[in-house]
Amino acid sequence: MKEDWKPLRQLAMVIDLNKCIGCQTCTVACKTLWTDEEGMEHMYWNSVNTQPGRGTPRDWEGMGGGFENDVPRAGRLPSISEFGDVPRYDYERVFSEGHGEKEFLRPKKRPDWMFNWDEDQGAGVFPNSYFFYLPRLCNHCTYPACAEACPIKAISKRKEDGIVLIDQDKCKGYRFCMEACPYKKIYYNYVTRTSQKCIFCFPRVDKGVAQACARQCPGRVRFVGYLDDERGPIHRLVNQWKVALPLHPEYGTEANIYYVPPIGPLRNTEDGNFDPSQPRIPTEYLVSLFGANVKPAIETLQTEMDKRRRGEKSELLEILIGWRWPDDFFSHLTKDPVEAGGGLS
Amino acid sequence: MKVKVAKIAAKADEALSPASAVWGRVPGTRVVLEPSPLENQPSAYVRALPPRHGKIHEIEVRALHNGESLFFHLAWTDPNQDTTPTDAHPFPDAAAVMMPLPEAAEMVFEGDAISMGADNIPVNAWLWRPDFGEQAKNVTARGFGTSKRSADGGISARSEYARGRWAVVFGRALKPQLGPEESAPVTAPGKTLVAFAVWEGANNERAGLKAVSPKWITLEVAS
Ligand code: HEM
Ligand code: SF4
Ligand code: SF4
Repeated sequence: MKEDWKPLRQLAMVIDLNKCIGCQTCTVACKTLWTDEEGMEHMYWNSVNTQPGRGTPRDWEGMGGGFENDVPRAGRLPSISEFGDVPRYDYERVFSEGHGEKEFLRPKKRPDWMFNWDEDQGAGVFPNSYFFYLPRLCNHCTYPACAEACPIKAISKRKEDGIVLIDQDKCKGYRFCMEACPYKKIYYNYVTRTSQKCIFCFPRVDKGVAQACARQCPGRVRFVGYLDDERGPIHRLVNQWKVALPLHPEYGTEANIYYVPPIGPLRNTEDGNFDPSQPRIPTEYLVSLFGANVKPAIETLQTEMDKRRRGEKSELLEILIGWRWPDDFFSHLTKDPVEAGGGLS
Repeated sequence: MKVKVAKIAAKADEALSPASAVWGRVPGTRVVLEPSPLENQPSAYVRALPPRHGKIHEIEVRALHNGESLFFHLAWTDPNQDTTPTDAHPFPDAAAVMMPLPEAAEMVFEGDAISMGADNIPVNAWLWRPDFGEQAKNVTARGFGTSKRSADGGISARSEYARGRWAVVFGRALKPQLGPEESAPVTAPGKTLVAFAVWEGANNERAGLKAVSPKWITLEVAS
């Protein structure tokens, strides 16, 4: 049953959306480390999408899965075209078959969707349009709907840190996990005929190195550590300050990637003045993503930011800024991947 | 219910060909299939699915042996031919023949409800899928969620799809190359049990979502 999955300790991540610049360095760090083989072209275990937007895979929030009153909810299998395949180029024709003088390299098929297709579109109208970036990866859920769905128990959740893994030797490609994952963060590999997803960089974690997406992030947006480590940033942001929230808590899996909600810039009036009477990013929109707890979280963030503006100290902002890298960000996972041994970077 | 295995001096190549004239000499048995029950399946997600599986309602079964090898000829109507999994057709069609392994011999009888075996009732299935090529997988199971596939069961399979119908022939030596833990030996003359399953790929059928012959059938092998 659901409760059987609960680990002894849970490794978690906090992503501060106020600092994310949408550079996709995390996406590329992950791609080059884990998904650069044939059959994995369309996979972005880490993806960053502009919100509001259709997301990855396209309109994934309408695809079902997760739990409703603890009962698994049917879900739909996302396709590669919904994730957005990478463009395929006809290198042979242009480079080695003698057509290079007449034709230039271009995608064989005109792409009409890719994982970050609606980047920077956002919503709202001038002068108050808005958007923010939402990095997503497998949530290593406390109640992994994916694992619960697999009839042959090919998916496990590690007791020691809650990392959810698909055993590539056991997986038979049934893809119930892909249907059941409400975050649509599992991909099917047509070459190996298995389902694959984010492994939370477990080979790095096992050697004291933070996840590649976290460590490579130039915005220093990501914190990692155990949820129950009272001195670490995760516990303090999630449990103590309650400013970091899971995405779509109503999916019922208890996601372990937490987000500090975006405050956004101030609104403008027609004549170019600031309008602080209401937020630029509509609160209802944030509630639709992070649940009702987003309201007190934003209030706390705003109160603490105001303190700082007045020149007072804010413990919360000290954590969110993080002065010392990597120590203030990665708890016990501060080792350098090169020093920790081969194959990790 | 009974399926008879006629003895016919056919060459392996002849028997393996689904359209071969040799199959015209073997009377077919109509086997009615039912959607596999969901309630005891090993995935809470699958148990909670709305029951839309089991699209194939019947198959026609023929069987023969030539003294060396046993062949099953399965044919069924399926308007959609699903071969290699692709983005638009994620799941292939599939079919399987199941027999109890020797250890289960005194544990199951004709008419007993079918399952994926149990701890003390190991079963053996021959699994055909169009994307496996001409080699069927040898599957063993001791209960739901325990199936294991092996490619070295020495099971051949050839298939043909024409006019909205699949015809699949399985063939294996009566005396299998794998041991009695993995492959069910068949003796001629002799008797054992069989069951059948068909997956309709276009209906996203795979694993426990399929159509099955709900009760064990006697397989009567002629001398
Ligand atoms: C009550 C009827 C049945 C139920 C509920 C059922 C359920 C399942 C389930 C849940 C699986 C997933 C994998 C596993 O459990 O190991 C499975 C796999 C399998 N079943 Fe059944 N089964 C039934 C009857 C049959 C019959 C009659 C056959 C064959 C004639 C069959 C052949 C197979 C095969 C070959 C696999 C492995 C498929 C693969 O390797 O991809 N099953 N079944
Ligand atoms: S690397 Fe950091 S700043 Fe850049 S997109 Fe990823 S999370 Fe945002
Ligand atoms: S996000 Fe999806 S794939 Fe990851 S643990 Fe949760 S249910 Fe499983």
